[in-house]
Amino acid sequence: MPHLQELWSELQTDRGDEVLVLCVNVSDSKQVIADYWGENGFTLRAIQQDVAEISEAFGVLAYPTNYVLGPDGRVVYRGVGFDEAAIRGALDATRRTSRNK
Amino acid sequence: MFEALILVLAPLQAPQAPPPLDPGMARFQALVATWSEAVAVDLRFEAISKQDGTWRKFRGSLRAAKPLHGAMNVEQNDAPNFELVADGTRVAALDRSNGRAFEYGRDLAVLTGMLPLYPVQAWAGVDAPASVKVTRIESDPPLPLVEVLRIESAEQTTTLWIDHDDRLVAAEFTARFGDEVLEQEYLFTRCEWSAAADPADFAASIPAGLELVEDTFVDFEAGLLAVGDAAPEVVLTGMDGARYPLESFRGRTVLLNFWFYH
Repeated sequence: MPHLQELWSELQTDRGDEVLVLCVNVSDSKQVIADYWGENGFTLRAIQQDVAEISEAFGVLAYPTNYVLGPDGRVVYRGVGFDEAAIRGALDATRRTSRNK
Repeated sequence: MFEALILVLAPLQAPQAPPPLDPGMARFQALVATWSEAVAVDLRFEAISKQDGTWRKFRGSLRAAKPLHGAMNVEQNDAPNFELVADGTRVAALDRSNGRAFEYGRDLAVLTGMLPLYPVQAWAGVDAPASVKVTRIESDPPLPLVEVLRIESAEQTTTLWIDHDDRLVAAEFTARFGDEVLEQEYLFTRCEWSAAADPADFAASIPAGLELVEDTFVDFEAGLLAVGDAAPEVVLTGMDGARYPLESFRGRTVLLNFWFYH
């Protein structure tokens, strides 16, 4: 999560509103999430789900799993774990796509 | 009607030997011996369990051999529900009911987390019980159930109801994870276990559709959407309580990170 926070801070500076990072939580209470966020000073946006419906819709079996969705709502990247290079590559690809428009 | 009931129950009145000095531990050891002396074990069961107010039907099999190699498969309401593979150094489990994957060292606690199979856990040599207590049910006429075996360890309590023929009839399982308490009750409609003599038999006996995996358990990416797929239309609930349709972020790149803390 700290790596993700770093990436998010960087993205905000670099790309502003163009990129959004959402952390979809599974199974933790709102309080646990809030405490964890508070303790670490995260500005990442946390999403809570009471049942795993979002995880299921995305076929997530292991955590962490990351998806990069392009501006058209299609999957650009998905992978289990935090493969930072791959995620950065996918995010860059959406930048190129936007610029080509 | 009452006489008929006595007649039905009469054959079940097998003579019971006087309890030994430490009946609880002796009974437990006798049960565990089935496993500890075995090179490989084979267990199949069917059970019903009331969870969240609904009765669910479970069916499963467990095959395991020393040193810790095995596979377990559980169906709930005829749908795959739980899979576990132990490969000698680690135990990996997939709980389909909540989409979670687990990986354990040699800790087989997950076995009893799903099913009251305490003898298997003891056989694997982890989490030795703190106490074992056997309660004989005395009644007139005698009930089909003759013994209640209660096994307690630091985090788990398993209660097994056993009939005159040493068949597992029902089980109650309570686990404590910090402040959380998990309680499950099972009524076994069928439970058979046997010890296979030769591990080679075990390898050959893995049921169709279940494979003993050496290194990895499951491809956790197999169920993910493919690159190019449209994201599903889901509604996200923010920490502010507001609901955001994923669609509303169209036009922006979204990094969706699935995580949990606890």
